[in-house]
Amino acid sequence: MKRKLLLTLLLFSMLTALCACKGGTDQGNTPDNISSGTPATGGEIVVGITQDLDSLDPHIAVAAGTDEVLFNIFEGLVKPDKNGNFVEAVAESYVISEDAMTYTFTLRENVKFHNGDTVTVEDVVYSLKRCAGLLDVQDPNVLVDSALSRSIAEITAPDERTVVLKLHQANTELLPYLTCAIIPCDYDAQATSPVGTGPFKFVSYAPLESFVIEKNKDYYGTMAYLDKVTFKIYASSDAAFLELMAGTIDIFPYLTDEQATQLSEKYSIEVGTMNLVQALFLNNGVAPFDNVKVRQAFCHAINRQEILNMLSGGRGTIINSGMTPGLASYYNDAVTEYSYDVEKAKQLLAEAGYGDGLEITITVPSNYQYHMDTAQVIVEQLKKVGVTAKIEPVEWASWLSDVYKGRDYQATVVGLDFNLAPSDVVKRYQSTASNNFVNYSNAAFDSTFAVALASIEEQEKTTAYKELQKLLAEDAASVYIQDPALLTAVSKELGGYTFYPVYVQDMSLVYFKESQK
Amino acid sequence: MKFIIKKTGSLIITLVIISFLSFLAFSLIPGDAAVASLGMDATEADINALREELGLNRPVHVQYADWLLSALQGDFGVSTQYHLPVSELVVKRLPATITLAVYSMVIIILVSFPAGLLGTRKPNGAMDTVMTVLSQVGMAVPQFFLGILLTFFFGIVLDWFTVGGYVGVQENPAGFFRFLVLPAVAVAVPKCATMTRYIRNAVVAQKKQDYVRTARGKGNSEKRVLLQHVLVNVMMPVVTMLAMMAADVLAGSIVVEQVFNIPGLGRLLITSISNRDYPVVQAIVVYMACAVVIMNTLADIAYQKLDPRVR
Repeated sequence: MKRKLLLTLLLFSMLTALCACKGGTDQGNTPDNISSGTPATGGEIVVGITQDLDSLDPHIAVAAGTDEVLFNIFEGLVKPDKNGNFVEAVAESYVISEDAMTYTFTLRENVKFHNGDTVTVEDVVYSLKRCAGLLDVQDPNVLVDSALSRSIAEITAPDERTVVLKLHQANTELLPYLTCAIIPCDYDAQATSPVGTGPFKFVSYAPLESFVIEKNKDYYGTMAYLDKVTFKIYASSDAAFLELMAGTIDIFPYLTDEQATQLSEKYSIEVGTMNLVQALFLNNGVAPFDNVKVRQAFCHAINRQEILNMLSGGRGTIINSGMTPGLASYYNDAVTEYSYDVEKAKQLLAEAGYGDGLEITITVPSNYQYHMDTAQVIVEQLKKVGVTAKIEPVEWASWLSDVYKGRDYQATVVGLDFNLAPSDVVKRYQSTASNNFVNYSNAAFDSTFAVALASIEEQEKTTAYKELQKLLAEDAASVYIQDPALLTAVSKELGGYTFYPVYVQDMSLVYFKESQK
Repeated sequence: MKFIIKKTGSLIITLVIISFLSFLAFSLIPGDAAVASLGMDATEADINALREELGLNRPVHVQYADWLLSALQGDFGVSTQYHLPVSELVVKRLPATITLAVYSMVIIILVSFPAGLLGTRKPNGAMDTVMTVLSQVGMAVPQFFLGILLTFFFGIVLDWFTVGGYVGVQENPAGFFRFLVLPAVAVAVPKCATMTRYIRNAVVAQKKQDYVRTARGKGNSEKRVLLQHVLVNVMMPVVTMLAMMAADVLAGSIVVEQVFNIPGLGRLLITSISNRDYPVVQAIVVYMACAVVIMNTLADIAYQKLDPRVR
């Protein structure tokens, strides 16, 4: 008896501790425009990131989590702005010939690398060739940008300030790829001590600990406000959140909805989008998803609004096909929409011969909690139409190797990121594409894609891309879900935090508000 | 002398077997360093070129033999992700992990002996029940959860502890040693609970032995019986248990390093596994195996000291 009483008491005290944990302050979660306030120059901040950098060499790094940080150090000939346009960076101006076969760039005068050297045409030619895999001796660690390697025939420098790209075929969509970082041609310590031209320069990097950058005082463009930014690397979002509660981080960009509601008053929450096509991707090459009716049934069976409600407090942008509204004029919002309809889904499944139920496996990269959570909601929703789905969590490297490269899976939940070129988002659905991991195959798609890519007439191009999205929706290539909301905690002392239509953390715009200083 | 040679020999054989097994396991899981580091956009040709460069396209036994030969000469290669020498990466992370392990072991020893003995005066008495319940709870709490609770309570509610305030031992030794106390508690609590229970049971069992009755019969005080007779006999299995716990403490610190964001070996190991950075993984596996084998050897030596019969 005594034992029982003690146990109860203990349990009770533990529960109380738990509740204290959960409660927290409930204020501060109303979106607040922090971009106000007069900017002050100077100051240092700490930004939390949850992914270690995969390389400091911008041409070797492939992780989105690395690119978003290196954006502050490196620039290409052009760079994206917050509206998705490409503005001149190392180049002062550029001309795309009318036949879209030649790109001519004029370099800005006196752009300095962080090591003090002036950027020369040799550096630019070297950097572009390295990205495009055109160097005589190519480092196999460098990921060759296939869009560049396929398009570029020749890179030349007719004079000290001009770089000319000649293409194999007309391509008006190459600009987004020319954000490829310009680095010095005779410098071989890029992976340990990176040198670029951006508004910040590299200070130090300790694997698993931190990445530190400071203001580049010789920057040609608008000078950054902050003197120093420390990107602190966390093992998990939970570890980072604990520090956020303690107030030692100024900006943290990967809040979960649950964390957002517990955030203290010190922070405001900025809402952007992740710029991902999140979907339940279906392997069109294997049963049961080789049957279009089954794929359509899944589209009807999944309640996307409910996913948004459960995972991100209703935030996020629902998509019906393979592009997101981030692609502006190319985005087609008038494709077939699969309404949430349990009866219709059941009927389609019955027509496909799965009236008695169906068992499938959803393989999910377990390092992405968001996709894992999405898969869990999906499993519950599928139960209602008689589909028993099992989640198989795998590590990222296994996912890459088995699912993405090996195409050995039935269904998977993941988010695909993309460059701002519309072709980059949908090129994987060509039947012969090496990264067509959904095994989608439609002759009409292939021919329309060829038209879209080769077209130099904007109207024709836009129409073709819209048609492609329509085809993907009609064929129910996969169950497209959303472009997820990105919740970022920003200290209320700061202003200027800006979302981009690509995955970057631009620290050059962030400032301490004058009154706070 | 003979003893040392024998132990060193078995250490080397153990290490070779363990390193081979981990190498083999690593080659069996899907994905390799080339796939992991080139990511989604790489073509088959890109991946093969990098495999060639890293030597990953050779048969496993050749790769292992190559690795072993260099490792025997003290060269653990270069990390495929960080492009830094593995020894440098590992050595920089040792102070945190070793300090954490030593702290945890000290806490385990300091807490579990008195706690284990508390209830043995009156087995199943009030104190014994309290200790049993406490150790039950202690064993049941996962370390990562305890880590979060501790951080929340001491770091945020009481503000006695700077959350995420880890500093390197060279930069600020005092801060370094202070910071690691709380993570060590998180590692140690479940182990303390197990140990407390173990000691309690061993003591209670010993007390039922005839020699205890004899010792009491000779007119020894209860305290003297406990310290001079019972404890000496209890020490043998307890030392074995402690040595086995060293391995658990290492495993526990991997989890706790994640929660407290300590850039130690555990985090390096997890990151390296997901990046398929085999040179780093191999080096850490060898280090950890070494640590466990050495702990066991120390236990053997302690055994001899404690019991002259084992010589």
